[in-house]
Amino acid sequence: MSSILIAGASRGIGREFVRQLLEKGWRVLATARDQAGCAALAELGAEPFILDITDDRSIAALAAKLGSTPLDAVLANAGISGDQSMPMEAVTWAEMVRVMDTNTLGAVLLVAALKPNLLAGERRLALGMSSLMSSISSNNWGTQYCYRASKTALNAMWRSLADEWRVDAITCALLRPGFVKTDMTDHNDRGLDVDVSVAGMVRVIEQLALADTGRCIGFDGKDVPW
Amino acid sequence: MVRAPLHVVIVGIATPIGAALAGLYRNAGARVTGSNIDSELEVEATRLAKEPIDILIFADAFTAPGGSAAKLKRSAFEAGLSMLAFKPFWLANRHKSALAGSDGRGKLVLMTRSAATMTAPDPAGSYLERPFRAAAHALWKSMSVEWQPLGIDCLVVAIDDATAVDNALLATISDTNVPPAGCVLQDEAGRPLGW
Repeated sequence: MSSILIAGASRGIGREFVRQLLEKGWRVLATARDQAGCAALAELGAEPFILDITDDRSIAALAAKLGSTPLDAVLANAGISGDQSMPMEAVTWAEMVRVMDTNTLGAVLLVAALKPNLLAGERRLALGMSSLMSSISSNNWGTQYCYRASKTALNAMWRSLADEWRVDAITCALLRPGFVKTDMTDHNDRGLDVDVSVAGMVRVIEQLALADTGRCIGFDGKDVPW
Repeated sequence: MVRAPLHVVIVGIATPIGAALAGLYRNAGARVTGSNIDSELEVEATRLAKEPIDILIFADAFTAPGGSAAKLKRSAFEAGLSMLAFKPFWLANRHKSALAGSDGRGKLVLMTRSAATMTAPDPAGSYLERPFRAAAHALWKSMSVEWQPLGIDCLVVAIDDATAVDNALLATISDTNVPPAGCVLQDEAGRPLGW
């Protein structure tokens, strides 16, 4: 049985990952920020853990609870959109740090803390949740400055991880969900249904190998241009 | 090539790249104002934005040590995020009007490193610098799209050391007209590089 830890699993894409991977017979360890979120994850059949990805003590506590538990995959899915309507000239240091803390720094610190668990697993997949908004070359409309910057920085972090961890046979890959109807997109009608997006990303995860390390792969299996 | 008297502001004028640029622009007859990213931002923004700016260049000399991901501390990220991404973005925004007031198209130029790209990444262990250069690239691309209609060209130019600063770079800065879809990463000769 394959095992995965999904950070940021209490709603949206993370919750759907829990549901679909459990259906496929994976052992799913999943995190939420509070007890209510954990209770909901337990109802789905996941093994819940409290985690605040912006708090290093919380990450350390999770690593301590997991101990030597082998993990085939860690998916750093926790993310925030930040203030999407904030004008460019109004962006503050506090807002940039807030978005980076979750989307970029928390993600890399989490997988780094759980590297021993990945090394104990068989598939060794360190997965980050990227976004089309991370793609500099695709950006021809601006907006959402902190979110874009955080996801582009996440891509760069994962490229560095891929280089460093190749020797450990850990595949460091980024997933792109597409534009999905979730709370983050106000369930926009133009979006993909979350089950379609996640089903595509699950197919990507099932096929990942070390040769894919450093890639950013869409739910449709296509690479995302940097 | 350089129309005198251009007003050129160089943030990071004491860095090797900034100093080389200042020398070239002065030789070409431009009026050069220097600044430093470590300055008090509000004070510096007020000082620099008093008159039109033709070219505003960010030329940092920030470097960060490599290291393994397992030894990263959250507090260690702050310097790179601030120096490479937030401060240049914040200062650039304070000078939008001054750049739009240029007689020609205002030029907002971010000097970066070719090793900061996704396609030619640094060696393993770069967590404190490269991601924040990449974040700055993303911010500059957004500015390049949104400010192009205002008459401002936002450029990102990869220069790895001061020896690459020459008149070809000045020509790249003056001759590049950013299309509505935004800038591309360029080298000093204006050749496109991958992000």
